[in-house]
Amino acid sequence: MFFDVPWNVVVLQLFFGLALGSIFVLLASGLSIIYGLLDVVNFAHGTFAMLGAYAVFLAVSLSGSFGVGILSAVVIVGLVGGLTEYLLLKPLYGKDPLLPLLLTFGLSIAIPDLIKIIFGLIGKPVNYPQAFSGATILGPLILPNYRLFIIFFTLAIMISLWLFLKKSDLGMILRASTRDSGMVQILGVNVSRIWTIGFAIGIGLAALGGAISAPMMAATPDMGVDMTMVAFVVTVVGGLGSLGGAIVGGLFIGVVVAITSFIAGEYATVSMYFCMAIILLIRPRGLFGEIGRE
Amino acid sequence: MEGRETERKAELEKMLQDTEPKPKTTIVWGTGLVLLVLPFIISAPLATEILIWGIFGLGFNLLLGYTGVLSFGHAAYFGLGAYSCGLALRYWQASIWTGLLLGIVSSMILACFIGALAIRKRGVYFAMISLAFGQMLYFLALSPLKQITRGEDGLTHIPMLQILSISLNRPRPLYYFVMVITVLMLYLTWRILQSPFGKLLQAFRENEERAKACGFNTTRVKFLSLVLSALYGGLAGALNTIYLGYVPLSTLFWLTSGTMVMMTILGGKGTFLGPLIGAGVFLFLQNTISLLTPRWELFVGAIFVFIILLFPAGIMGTLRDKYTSYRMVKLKKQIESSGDSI
Amino acid sequence: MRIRSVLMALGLIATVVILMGIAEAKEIKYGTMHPLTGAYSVLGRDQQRATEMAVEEWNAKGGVLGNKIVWVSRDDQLNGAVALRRAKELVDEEKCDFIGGTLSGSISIAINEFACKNKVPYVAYCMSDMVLGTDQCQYGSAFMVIPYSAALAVSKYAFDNLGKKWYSLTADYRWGQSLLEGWIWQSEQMGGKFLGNVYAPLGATDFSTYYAKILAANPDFLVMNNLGADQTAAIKQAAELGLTKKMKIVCTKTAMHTIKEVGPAYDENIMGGMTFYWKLGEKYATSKKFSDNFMKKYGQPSEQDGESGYVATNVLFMAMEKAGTVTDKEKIMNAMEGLKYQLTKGPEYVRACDRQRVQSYLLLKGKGNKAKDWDLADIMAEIPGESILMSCEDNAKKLPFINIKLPK
Repeated sequence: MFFDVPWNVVVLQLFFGLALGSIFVLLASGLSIIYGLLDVVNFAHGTFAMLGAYAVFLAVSLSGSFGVGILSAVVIVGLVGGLTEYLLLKPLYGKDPLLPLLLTFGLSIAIPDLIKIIFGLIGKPVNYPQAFSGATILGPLILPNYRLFIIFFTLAIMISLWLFLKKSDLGMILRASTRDSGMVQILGVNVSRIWTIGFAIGIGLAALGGAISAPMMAATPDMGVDMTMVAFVVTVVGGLGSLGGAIVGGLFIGVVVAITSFIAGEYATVSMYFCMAIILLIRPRGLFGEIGRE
Repeated sequence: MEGRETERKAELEKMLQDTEPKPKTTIVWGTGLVLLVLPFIISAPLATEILIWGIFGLGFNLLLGYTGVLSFGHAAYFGLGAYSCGLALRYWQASIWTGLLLGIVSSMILACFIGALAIRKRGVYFAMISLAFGQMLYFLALSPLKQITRGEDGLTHIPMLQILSISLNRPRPLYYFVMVITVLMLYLTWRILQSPFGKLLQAFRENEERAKACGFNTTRVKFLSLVLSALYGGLAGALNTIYLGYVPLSTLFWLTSGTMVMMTILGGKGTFLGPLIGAGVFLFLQNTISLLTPRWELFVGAIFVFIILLFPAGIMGTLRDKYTSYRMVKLKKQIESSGDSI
Repeated sequence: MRIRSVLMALGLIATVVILMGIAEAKEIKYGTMHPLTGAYSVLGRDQQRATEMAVEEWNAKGGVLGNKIVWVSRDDQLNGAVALRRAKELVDEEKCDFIGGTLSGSISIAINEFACKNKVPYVAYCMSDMVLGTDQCQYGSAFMVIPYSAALAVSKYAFDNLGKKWYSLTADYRWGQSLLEGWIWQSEQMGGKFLGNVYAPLGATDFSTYYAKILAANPDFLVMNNLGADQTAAIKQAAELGLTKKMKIVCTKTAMHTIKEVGPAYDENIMGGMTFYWKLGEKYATSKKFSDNFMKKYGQPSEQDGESGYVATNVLFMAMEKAGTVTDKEKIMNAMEGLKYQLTKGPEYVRACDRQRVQSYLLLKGKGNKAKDWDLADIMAEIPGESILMSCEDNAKKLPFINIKLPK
């Protein structure tokens, strides 16, 4: 079946898989940071991504610029995330570890309805940015520019994130808090504030994922659920708490879904769950996960 | 002097034991009465649903409230129980009892499978994995297994059933049939909790690490708990099929799992009647609010967040804690008044 | 003596007649279900509103045969279990004599089964297969076209005007597949060239991976057998990937809210089918009246699902008038069979053998940047209802579509 397919179609499928996977990476990396830092599985992760999509809709309608739109989405929703952590999650630390998870679950039910009240039931359209319309032609390959943008933009974000975590003071503190928050606290750092910042960063990444997805499908109140599921699957595959895992896992799942769509379209969604099941069988901690974290 | 000390010790122990809430006869009779008259207070279909979710919750609570394992994909057991029963009723003209049995057994087998794969994982990790498995089952039923499950349409043409020549198509007889089973399951649950296994579960609930240190095989306990909870889930699913006469695809959807979690937390995890109360309150709220506004999810979600923040022990849990602390205060007064000091 | 007895007898007869008259003036309880929460709440809300409008109009003129209509509606959450519970509540608790509604074809089949078991007349508002084969019974009636008919209507126009080579993108569930079956059959009848089909799972959000295949196949037009958020994403990405420059896109069923969500990308290269669009008011006075009334009451025109509910409710009451009773349900359903009316479009009727509304199907073309407010598309064709019907015998056996082999 593969053999009578022209090579450029295969490459194109891989390309689309990488673009899809890049969005998965954005979603999963945020989830991983939050889990690594706070031990919280954020059930409302996709919900925040949805808020990112609505934020970009608002910002683009007001400013006309997609760039401003994305920036606003990240900043505004990131702040909302920080506020959420501060007001709703912080009171739960130290108690039953399942409580934060349950709280985020409650948010994932309530917030979409709130959006329906504010923005109505019909989704909001977001146009593709003019700057990235059209396609780049490389021989027989026609690569849509927006997809190229997604791939390179995500790459840039991930590199920035890595640099931030590795080189900056705040990044170092964040990493240390992931390892041993007690020790960090003894050394005089206000760990509580670090947690809020970390959560906000994770949410910001989710919002980015949602904002970038918005032109492809319109901002709808119920779009978050699938995004949360994807983030979960990728995180299990990549390894809980591992940023590298989120990246590799995200791209891998993106490509798997793309290839499956090509061969047997109706299995596309199930395929990522199959991947997850297989990883659980042969390497339970995930590709890059640490033993003991699971 | 020593004799008096042992006597005193025994007295104190007895007082301590008295502070533990026991199934009081009033509660038992009260529950029984409520169950009997429920279909006259609220609609019979709603009452039946509350009981079905209550049974589902009894099992789920054993896993979450007592063993401390959160499964976010329990819809898989509910749905599998529903479909197995439905398929048996429709294609093999099976009797009610065969249908129910099939629902129970198929769910338990699925639990063995998932348990073998994932039960060793940490709490939050298992929650995620169970959710993903639940989703996988949903998507399998939606598309690849469409021939069997009829996908989006759900399973229809399930024949009307009879018990002792009373047709189960009328709402009241159907309710009382489900009620009898509910009472049986309540009794079964009570027996389980009184048994050594049940005591072990309660030890788990208090402190898993310590139970492990005492030499108990925690993995085995969690596994057994999972399979047991699947029994309830499968039964509830099969009952749901009988109640509806139809198996909708939504029985496998993640929201079914999520609803179960919300009901259990709301009612109070780790309490005996919690799941039943939780199911009642949740469904009643959902029903009532949706009469006033289509945005009921906002209110239910917000109430849930509120409960998590302020009353994480749920309705029954908070009541129990209040009762226990009240008893503790009384005990303290008793001891102080009898001359000893703490 | 004689006169007294005669007067007493007359008095007695008069009393009895008056009492019978009073007893006859009972209320009609009508209960409906709609998805007011969930992904299609936009459409569910229109269903509810249109029903409300119909009931109010009838009550304003004194009800049906002097009996007031009491209407209750419930949220079925687009969930089969909830819908069935609502149906039970409506019939057993609210004591509704008649039920209607729901948006999902599969749910309507379950409700139809319930209605048949309990002998409660049910008017379905949605695209449903309930009137086919063994699923139907005397108590069920359907007021939106069955999926096959939609496909037949749109495909005929497509093969006549857009070309012969076609590819399809189908949502992988029964409704999508029914549409595809209709297309394949029509393609064989009209010399179309079916190049292939891609199934997308329900709820898919990324279609880029399907489009490479489709671009390579180079059809004259791409058929989309999907709806809602799936269709929105599919069209947006088709435009992004340049498909719309190479081929036309034909959505067998589309909706106003989809056009709004897609935005200017829903241009002249994209066509879609609906059973009703408010611009029909330019052709039929009845359409204009319905749309204007709805607009005045609710601030926006009704989607096709609302119009369908409006007609269903009206026809139910009209059948009661024709039968001369509001309690004899069999008589009412008999009266509905063959009932002729003109309510929101041209003259229509309910087909006797399967109680299916025979109505026209519209084909619309997008307007891209020229779309404004609710002027979202132009009507290209109104395909008459009779031309997209299969015969009663064929319907009962689900022919000819049951013989179509769907691609894997």
